[in-house]
Formats: sequence, C-alpha cells, structure tokens
Amino acid sequence: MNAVSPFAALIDQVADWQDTFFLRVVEPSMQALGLASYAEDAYGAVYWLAAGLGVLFVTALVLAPAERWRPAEPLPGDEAGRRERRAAIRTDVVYTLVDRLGFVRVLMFFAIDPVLAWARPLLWAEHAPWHLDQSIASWWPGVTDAPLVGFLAYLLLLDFAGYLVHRAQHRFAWWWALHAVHHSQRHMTVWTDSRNHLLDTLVVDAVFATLAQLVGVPPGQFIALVMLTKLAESLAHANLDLSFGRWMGKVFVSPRFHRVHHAMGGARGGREDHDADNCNYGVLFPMWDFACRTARFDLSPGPTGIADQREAAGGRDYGRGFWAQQVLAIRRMVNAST
Amino acid sequence: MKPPAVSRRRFCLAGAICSLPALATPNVPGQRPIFVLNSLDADVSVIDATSYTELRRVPVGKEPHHLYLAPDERSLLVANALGDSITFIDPRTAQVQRHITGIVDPYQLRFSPDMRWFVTLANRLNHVDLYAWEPGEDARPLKLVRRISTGRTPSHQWIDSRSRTVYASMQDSNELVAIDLDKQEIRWRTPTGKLSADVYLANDEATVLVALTGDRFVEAYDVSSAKPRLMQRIETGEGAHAFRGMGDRRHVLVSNRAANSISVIDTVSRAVVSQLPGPGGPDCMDLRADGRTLLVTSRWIRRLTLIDVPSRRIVGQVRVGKSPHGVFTLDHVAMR
Repeated sequence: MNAVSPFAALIDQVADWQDTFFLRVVEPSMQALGLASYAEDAYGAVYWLAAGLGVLFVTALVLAPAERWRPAEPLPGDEAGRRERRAAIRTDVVYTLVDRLGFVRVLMFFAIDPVLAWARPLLWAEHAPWHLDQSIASWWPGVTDAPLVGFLAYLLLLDFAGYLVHRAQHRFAWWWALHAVHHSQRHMTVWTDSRNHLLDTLVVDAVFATLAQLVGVPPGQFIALVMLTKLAESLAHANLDLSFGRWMGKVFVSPRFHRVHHAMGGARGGREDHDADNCNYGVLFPMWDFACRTARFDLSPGPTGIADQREAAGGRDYGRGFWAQQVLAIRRMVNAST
Repeated sequence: MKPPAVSRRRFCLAGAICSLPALATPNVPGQRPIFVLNSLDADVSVIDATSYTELRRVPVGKEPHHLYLAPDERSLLVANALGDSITFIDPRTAQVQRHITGIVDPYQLRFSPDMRWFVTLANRLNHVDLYAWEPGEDARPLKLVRRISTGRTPSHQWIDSRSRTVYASMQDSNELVAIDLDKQEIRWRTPTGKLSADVYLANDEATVLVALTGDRFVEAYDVSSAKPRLMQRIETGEGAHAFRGMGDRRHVLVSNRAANSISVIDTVSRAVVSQLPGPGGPDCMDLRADGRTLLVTSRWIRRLTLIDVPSRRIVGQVRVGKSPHGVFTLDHVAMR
C-alpha cells in the first residue's frame, strides 16, 4: 500500500523532509537540553511548522494574488495613501510569520502545556461526559475513531467554540482592548487574520488547546483542524468582494460576511466597550450566528476599522508597527481594568 | 558476542516490553504477517513477512502504542492509549476480531505468566490497572480489579516468571516501582536516572535493567532482596529506550533512540558486546524466528527497518505510518 499517485508521492516527500529536519536538528537539540520527554510533542510541532508553511504558501501564492481580481476596497488613489497601505500590510505580514511559523505555539508550549499536563488526569477522567469518545461512543461505539467522522465532529465543536470566544473578545472590556489590535486594521487583507495581540493569541490558543484535550482531539487532527481554520480565516479577511452566492454564502463564512463584521462605526462595528450592535462573529460556519441571531446579510461592508479611529471621533492611535500596537494594547487593557 | 540461539517458544516465562511474549508457538517462518502500530495514524500496518511489503492498514483506535499476545495466542491485543480501547487482531490473518472499549489509557500492557493478570500502564493518567483475564467472558474478558496510583507517566513494565511482581518505570518522576500482585499494592519504589523507559528482567530473575531515555545509560538493579540496589550503569547510547531479548537467555538488545543505534548487552557480564545501526529514532523491536532478522520501528522516519544482526547491516526498510511504535510477528525467537 505504498503511495502511488503523484500527489501521495509529493505528500510523502514533504513528510520525509519534515522527518529529516526533526531527526537531524530538533531531536538532538532536545536531547542535549534535557527535553527528551517532549520528543513526541516536538515531532508534532514539526508538523505544525510544515502545516504553517503550507498555509503561508497558499496565502501568498493563491489568496493574495486573488485580491486583485475583485477587491472589496479599492487601492488608494494617491501615492501617500498607497505607501501607508503597504506599511500597514507589511505589519500584518510580520504578525502572520510570527503566528504561522509557530513562535506563539512554542511560547504556549512552555507556558501552558505544563499546566495542561498537570490537569490532564482531570480532563481525561474515566467518566468524562465531555470527552467525545465517551459521550458519542456510548451510543455509537468507535465512531470518533473513524478519522473523517471524528474530524467533522471536532471541527463543528471547535468552530462553535471559536464563535463563543469571538463574542467574548468583543464583550469583555479587557479582552476587547487586546482584540482591538485585530480590528484596527483599516486595510484588511489576507494577512490580517494573524494581526492579534500576543496575549490575545496566547489566551485563545490556551482555550482551544484545553478544549481539544477536554474533548479528546488527537494531536494530528488538532493540527489539521487549526490549519484548515486558519486558511479559511485568511480567506475570510481577504480584500475580496466575494460572498459564495445566495446559499453557500449562508453555509460558509465568506470574505463579504466577515468584512461586515470588521466594518467601521455605524450600527455594527467599532464600539470598543460593547458588542450589542456587532454581528457576523462566525469563523467557518455562519450557522452559529443564525442560531444566536447575530447574522447580518443585509449590510454592505463599507470601510474597515474601529469607529474612534476616525478623525471626527478623535482619531485614536492604535499604533502603526508591531511593537507599538502591542504596547498600546496593554495600556488600553490596564486602563480598562482599573 | 555469541550468535543468538533460535530457540523454540517457551511457555510464557516472560514477555516483550514493546512487543510480545514468548509463548508456545511453532516455528513456521515467513507465513505470519508483521504488525506495526502507527501511533499517530490510529492504524496498524500489516506487512508481508516474505516480500516485506505493506499489505494493508487496519484501523484501530487513537494512539496505538503497544501490543501483546493473548494467552491462547489467538489474538493480538492492540492497546489504543488515547482511544481508551483494545483491538483484538488475529495474529495469523490480521483480521480484526473485536474491539473493547472502557479500558482507560492502556498505554502499555502485559499478561502475567500465570495468565491471571492483565496489567496496563496509564501513561497520561499516572496509574497502573490490574485486570483479571477471563477469556470465557466474550463480551468482557477484562475485569478491572485494582487501580494503583503510581508516579508520573508510567511507561513500561515487566512481570516476573512467578507472576508475583510487576516492575514498572515512571518516566517523568524518574522511578522504578515494584507492585506486589498478591497484595495488589506497591512494594517498593526507587529513584532512577533521567526518563526511565523500558524495563527488562534478566534471566536470573534478580537483575532488572532500566533504559534511560533522557541519558545514554541502562541501569542494572539487583531486586533479589527487599530493597532494590543499583549495581551498575551501562553506557549504551543517547536515548536508551526499548529492550528486546535475543532468545538465548543471555543477550538483550536496547534501542538508543537519539543515538540512532542499537546496543547488544550481555546480561551476565553487564557489558555492551556489540553495536548495530538503528536509523530514524529506533524504538520497539522484534527478532524473527531465524534469529538474525531484527525488526525495529524507526519512529521519526515512518519506517520499519530490517537489520541483519550477525552482519550488523540494514537490509531493508518498509514505509509505514506516522510515528510507528510497537512491532510484532508471531514468528519470533523467545523473549529472553
């Protein structure tokens, strides 16, 4: 049953490169650092890296060029505007590299995984109804062992969690102070998905890692789930006037659907202390927005950003570069908490 | 090093750590398939033992790491650690016979030689489970008798030939623990070196070898008295991990996962007498009935590697699934 198709051969070749990298670089380093106990985790992390690179390539080579096809937001007419846009996008590219190449995951591994390791016996208790293998499998034995069925079940569950987390990011003042980094981009493109405060990313990743442990997502599938989600999110943030049509646009989150969520001011966006008027929080599937009455298909996107960035509203500065945005967000969070 | 003798199977004096026990199996080489557990693919590669080609994949449960032969030799038990289940496979035809759920975190498993006990190590839940084996109970042949909290990350075990003591390593608390099967409680525990992994009870039944994956040593303990005593540290290679007896009751192989080598230890002189190559993070091993073909899972390159022991040469590799761990064929030499 060796690979026969060219695609399978390519997959095998990529996997061989990953294995070689792990064997020659990662494992000897871990052994030397006394981290051999984490060898299996590191082996998985190499797959994270490869998957992240794959998403980066697709984003750069497919999604980014596609933005020229039907841009939702036209290029600025003057050179100064274009220069400012390029600078803003460059910052988002930095965020994307940090996110997709796994730097935050490494940070999370050392910060959160020991806690998870401690909590694992609690999460994986013998009678744990939250564990999909125990809950679903009690009336349909072995179903979550079928890779595709398990994958779809976990995808739906994590997507719903993504919806709730996103609502919370808008709901709580301290969290919004961080999440505003993401919303402050006024030139939203495929690179904007990763534009998040590091602490925000850390919190969100911790929530998902814990949830995945809780419901029993296998590590390999977790990587695939996260990467599929990130790819879909990159597309959702693309500067594309694309809705997937009348029906499919209500099944999958489209760039237009998500752009409405990012729209500045008015009735639907940009209120930094409250989310009552916001809409379209869905990550992959809008059905959660339908169920929670937050779906809006009747609105046109308009310019993106946060309402108080407008000159008329005081022209609040959220920072131009990576570090400025990080520092200002912490200040906002501290102010929001006091 | 003496060439390993190809002995006839002996009635379960001991079992493999990563693979299977030596049971009364006739030598019919080349007929029974080779099984490799693909721990991150949740399936088992079935490999033709003559052509060394992968015939098919058998889906099991999540994270199958180790396997063991049922006392009646009619079933190979694949322990799905993350799936909390055990899949029974016919070791001759590779057909799935049944799938038992509710066996919590069976990372590593072993029958006691008297067939009374079936012991699992819960690697992520930090306990050892003692099950009664009741093969007559088709629906539920394993009944949990006692759950014993141990150290952090129970890893590997060996049960003595009198079926009285389980020797189990605790990978993350660096311990060797002895469990009294009669009393079903911990008899003693002793600190070991870094990241204790596989455990091997030598033929004298008084010497326990412990492989240190966080180091380059195998530690030899005297367990003949009430308190264990560290006798010697044997340098093998970085990442010493899994054992496999060579069937001559004297020599044992140990895979060095980070050094990418396999050492042969003389358990009498407690010295390394030979080194073999072990590419790709060698892990579990089985030695074929010809006494010379070593099957070793190359954990980080998704291969089963075939090594000719006398010539110390790699003679082939078979592509399998992701993170291959346990390996077994019914046509193997005795486990010690």
